[in-house]
Amino acid sequence: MNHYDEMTCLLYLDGQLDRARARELSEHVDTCGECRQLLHALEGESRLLRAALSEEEESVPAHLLEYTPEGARREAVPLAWVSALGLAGAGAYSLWAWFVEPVTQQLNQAGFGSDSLLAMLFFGGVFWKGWDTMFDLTELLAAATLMTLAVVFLRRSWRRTSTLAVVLGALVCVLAMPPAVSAAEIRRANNVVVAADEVIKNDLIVYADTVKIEGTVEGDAILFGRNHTINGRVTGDVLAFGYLVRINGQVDGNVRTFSSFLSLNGTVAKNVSTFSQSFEFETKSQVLGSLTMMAAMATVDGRVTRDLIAMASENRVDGNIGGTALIAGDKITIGPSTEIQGKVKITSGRQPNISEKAKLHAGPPEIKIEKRRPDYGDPRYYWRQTLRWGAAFVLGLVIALLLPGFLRETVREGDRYALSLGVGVLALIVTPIAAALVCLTIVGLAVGITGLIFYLVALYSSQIFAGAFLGEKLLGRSKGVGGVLARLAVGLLVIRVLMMLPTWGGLAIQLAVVVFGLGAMTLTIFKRLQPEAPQPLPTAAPAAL
Amino acid sequence: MPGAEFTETLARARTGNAEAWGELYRTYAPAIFRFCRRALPTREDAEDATTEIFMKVRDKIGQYDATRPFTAWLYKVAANQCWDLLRRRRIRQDLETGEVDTLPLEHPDPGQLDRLVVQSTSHEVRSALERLPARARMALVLRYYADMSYDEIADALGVRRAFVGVVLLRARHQLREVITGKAIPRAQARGTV
Repeated sequence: MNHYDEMTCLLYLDGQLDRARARELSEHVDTCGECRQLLHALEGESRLLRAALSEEEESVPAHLLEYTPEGARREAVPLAWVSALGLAGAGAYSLWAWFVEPVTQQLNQAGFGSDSLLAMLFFGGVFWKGWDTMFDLTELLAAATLMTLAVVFLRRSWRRTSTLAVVLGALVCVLAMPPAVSAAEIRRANNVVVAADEVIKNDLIVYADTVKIEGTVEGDAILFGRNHTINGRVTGDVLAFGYLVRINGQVDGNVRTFSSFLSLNGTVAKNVSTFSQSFEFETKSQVLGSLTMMAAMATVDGRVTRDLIAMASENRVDGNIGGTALIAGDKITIGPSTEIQGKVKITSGRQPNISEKAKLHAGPPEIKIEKRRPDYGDPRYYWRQTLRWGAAFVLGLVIALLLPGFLRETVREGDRYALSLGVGVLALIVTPIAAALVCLTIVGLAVGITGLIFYLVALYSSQIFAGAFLGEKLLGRSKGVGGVLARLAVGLLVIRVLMMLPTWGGLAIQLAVVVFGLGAMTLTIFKRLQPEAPQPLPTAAPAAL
Repeated sequence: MPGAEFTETLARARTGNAEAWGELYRTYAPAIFRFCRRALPTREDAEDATTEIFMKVRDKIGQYDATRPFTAWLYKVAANQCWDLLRRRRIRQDLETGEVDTLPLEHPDPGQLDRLVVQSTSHEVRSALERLPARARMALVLRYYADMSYDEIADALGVRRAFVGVVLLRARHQLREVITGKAIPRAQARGTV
């Protein structure tokens, strides 16, 4: 017995056969069990499809349910784009003029060199040099994991190509870093001592509570721990993270430290840069390159062959500087033994205390007293504010174009003011601590530094989200790109104007913006990390609208 | 929305009354959003498309023939918008404008198809649907979510009327393959009566 094919059966069920053929089929089915079963199965499949398609497993977004006449109208795109381009230009200029140029100049002065932007950003490769030896398989794996996670989390909102582009770009950056060349000598112990007669003919990486180098390290010394003392000699660079760092011996390379307390009482053949709470540069010690430091309290009594860049809230200089000196701080003292060959620039909150006996060979210092209160009478002040507004807008433009979904979700998260602010405070405090802790483990260094960089970016970006949120609250919701950008521009402008409030007012606004934006961003990221939980809710078929 | 009330709201909306538009929007946006969610790859796409569709509806409301159901017209606009979007993205893996392939004569064993239908959950069907080529997915959504006729589907997908059945049947086959992970074994050779 011949049977009807599946196509004909489907057409029959969908009422697409002509009357004669339909009657024929229906008569056949009365006597043919197999065709009857096929019809039944196909009908069951149709039912299954209808049921599956009309079930609601996720809710309709709340913003879609609100109807705003402005939101549905086409946006005045050209105007928005023209202003966007204008602001973008101003922003790019200001970024260059205020950030990139001065930073490169200062880094050049400090002997960091700037072969490439990347190298410049990471301290002229010194950081990476430290990485070279540490960049082993574990770190590569950590980096790869990060990238994979990035793809997984971002792919939902990004177009496939842009996600790939970003991730590949990041991968290229990672691979561009020189691979591990020589395996360094790694020591882990509570106390690590390099004895006076010991010579390590390799780079030395130490994790220890207390590190003492009495002997010689013929390579770089990378130290993680609490107390570090170098009485011997290091022929390469010293990179030290710790609470207390004392250098009494000789370092033939550069010294870079991140510490609470740094005491320099020896000789450094190249440059020194340090971030520390307290920094003491003793009388008899010398730095043959430049000295760059940021500290809460600093005493510079030794000798620097080249330039000095000293930023400290309490800054006392009483040594010998071969090049120029850039001294910034709240309370600055230039002592009687000071001798500076080059120009002296002082930026301070109050009049510096300069001893009459100090020898400033290039003439009297250029003193700039920075007023706490912005100079509201100066038109340049407003121009600067405008440029900052532009700079923030450029970033907003990038975010709005690359991550429209993220921006929208974050702005929506902002509706939960209290939660955003609470989470923001938490993120503001916890993230850097967590990143610093992660940095202390060798595997985590890449992750920790990446985390810190993301944190800084997030801090700056927080104003974008706060601005977009504010703009939307002021002008109503918008869907078009032009409308979103216009709201962003207005929101950022309002924030900028509020930040111009004198003294505490501006600072409070700034803090609120950072906390709020950071909180909303954290909430959104957290939400995206949650797996989507489908909740099937059978409802009426949509045809019965 | 009851018939008389709807006619009145629609008439007001045609004159540009914002309140009436709001009412129409609130009534139909959820269904249109779900339509887009079924037809498009991501939630963000669906949200954007929903807004776009209502902008179009506003522009084209003059073309709506009041003797026909409003939802059918609405779905037509929605289908065009979604299909355009997919076409612009060039993520249609199947034939763009060419004719549909002749259907491979793989006929399912009715018993096995029956079991598959009984055993499959709605959730499985939905996740399988997301993995279908764009045209197959769209065809199933138009037919079984938007309840479109063969004529309307032909119009929306730009295929000849005679091929709509083939497109739908092929889509079903692909769906079955995705759900089972393989094709349904063919029964004995069937001929047409």
